Amino acid sequence: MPADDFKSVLRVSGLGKRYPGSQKDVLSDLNLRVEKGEIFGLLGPNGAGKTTTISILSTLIKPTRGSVQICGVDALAHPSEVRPLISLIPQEIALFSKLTGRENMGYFGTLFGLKKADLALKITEILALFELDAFADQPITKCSGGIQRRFNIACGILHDPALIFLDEPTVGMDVHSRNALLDRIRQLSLKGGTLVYTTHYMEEAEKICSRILIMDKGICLAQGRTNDLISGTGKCRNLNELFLKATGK
Amino acid sequence: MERLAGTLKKELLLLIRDRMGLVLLFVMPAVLVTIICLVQAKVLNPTTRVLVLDNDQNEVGQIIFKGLKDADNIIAVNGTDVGCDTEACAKSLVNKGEYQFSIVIPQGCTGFAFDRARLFALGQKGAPGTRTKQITLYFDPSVQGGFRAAVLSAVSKVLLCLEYEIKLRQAVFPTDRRPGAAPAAPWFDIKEAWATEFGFIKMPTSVQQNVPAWALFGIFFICVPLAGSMIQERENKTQDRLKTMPVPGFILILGKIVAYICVCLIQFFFVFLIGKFAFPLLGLPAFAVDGPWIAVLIIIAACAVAAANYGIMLGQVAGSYEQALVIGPTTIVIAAALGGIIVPVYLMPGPMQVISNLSPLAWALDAFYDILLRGKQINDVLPEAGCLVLFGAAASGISHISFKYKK
Repeated sequence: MPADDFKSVLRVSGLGKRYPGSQKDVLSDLNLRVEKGEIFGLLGPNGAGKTTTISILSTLIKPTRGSVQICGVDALAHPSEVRPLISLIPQEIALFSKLTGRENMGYFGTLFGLKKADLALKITEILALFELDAFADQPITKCSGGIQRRFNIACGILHDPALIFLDEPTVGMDVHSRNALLDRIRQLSLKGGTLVYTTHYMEEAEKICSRILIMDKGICLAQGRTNDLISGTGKCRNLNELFLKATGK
Repeated sequence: MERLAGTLKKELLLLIRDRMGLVLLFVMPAVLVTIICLVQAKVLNPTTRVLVLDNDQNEVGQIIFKGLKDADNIIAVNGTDVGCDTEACAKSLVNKGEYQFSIVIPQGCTGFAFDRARLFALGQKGAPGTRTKQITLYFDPSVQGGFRAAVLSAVSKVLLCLEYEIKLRQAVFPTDRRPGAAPAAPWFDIKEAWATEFGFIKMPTSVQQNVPAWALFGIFFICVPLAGSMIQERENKTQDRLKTMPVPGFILILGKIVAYICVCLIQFFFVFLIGKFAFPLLGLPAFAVDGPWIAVLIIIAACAVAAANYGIMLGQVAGSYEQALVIGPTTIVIAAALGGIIVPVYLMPGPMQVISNLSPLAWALDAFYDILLRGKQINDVLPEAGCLVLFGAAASGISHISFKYKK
């Protein structure tokens, strides 16, 4: 089913998760919707349930209850149909460090099912987009942290996924590298990419996320357009203040 | 298919670029096999250098020299050939460690023997003090008692045979004396065989024992880098990333297994080439496969399947790289010890021989014995190959269960 047929790329309703043997839900009744082309911020302190949410949405783990639809496909019933449509980009450099950036991209592209000629073109295009041409033939271990993070994302967008899960992509980066990466992420969105973005940096989320969801202890505390949520509270000057207020910290 | 090929290519590239891993996979078994063969060559195939000082220069001296020369594992050297013609020199060369023992045959030995035989035929004993002739053996002080007793027994046997033959010739054909005649062929032949159930048709040499043994050890050692790569992928979340991709998990695992099977085959041929071409340069016999090569390939492939799946299981079950680094080599060394890699199973005490049947390395080594020492064919190694593949399947099953239920 083509992704363009649906305005809502992601629909989540009543999502809950309790790990076996645990007495407590790590996720309770989560509802959200992500529209095509938007960057949706999933914000929360440590232990809020962001990683669990991302893991469920990216088909890594099953929820205890609720439903997830990605591009109109039931992701829980048909994970293998959903996987070609999504991309999970973990916060760790989830690459093969002894391979070069180009080799990593080649490998992930092959797994995404791209044919050799298309893959070569796609690699060239993405290397240019992320300004990685000069580093493409260096082993990942020889690249700086910022370049590694760019390759981390580059490897996840080769197949033009309808939905990208970006888990704290700028963690540990210096300001320049972070700004450069945020620019690239914005460009992805402008090209029609839809992103679910988790971060601890509120100024970053404020800058790039059109809508956000603030959660803590598995519960949704606030959800809506970023600017509406900040201004709607009346007392918040920025997302940082809103976040502290919402999480009560 | 393209995804499998891509995974295979990725794994091979990772292996090629991991220099320490390559050292572990190729250099370690090659060094081990060479050192162990050199060390055990003297234990399993002792070669004794003997200096024969023949002052008799007649039939008795020649027969003793020939008897020693024809004996297995003895290199008999004539004293005159190395410029040693005195008893003092023979003693000194042994003392220096150049020979394990020397034998000094006194002058006139043959004449004495025939005189004694003639007297024996006439029923006389001869004058007291002329009844014996002394043959002296000088031993290296470092040789052990058992070896000394064996040498004395062998020399006594040669002399006794000689004595009886000369007596008989003098008694039956007193005029038909032919100095220098070769001794008659023995009537009774002693067959040397192993008092075990191993059914060897050849005695294993240190090379035949150690080349396959340590090659198999090296093959099983791939579990360490393989588990390491699994754990690294798990810890840096590459595994999570791969799990969310449109590719079945078995393709990713199969790619890894096929890559490591290729490595195992290359590893075996590397050790084989060292055994064949480098060993003769080190004074060791060359390793040769007399049996069918297909059978060898079947066993190596089955072994690689078992080892790769064991590595996958280790990578899945171990909580950290450090854990895998301890569990992997420890279990392989235990399996190697039980499997007859360190001490051959046929040298183990009875109960240990039974326990050794639990080790996959024992199955693999036994299959090699089938080919190298029992003269068996392809069909005969299939049961062992089957056991190894089943072991791999069991390890794979455990990995799968662990993958499913591990939080």
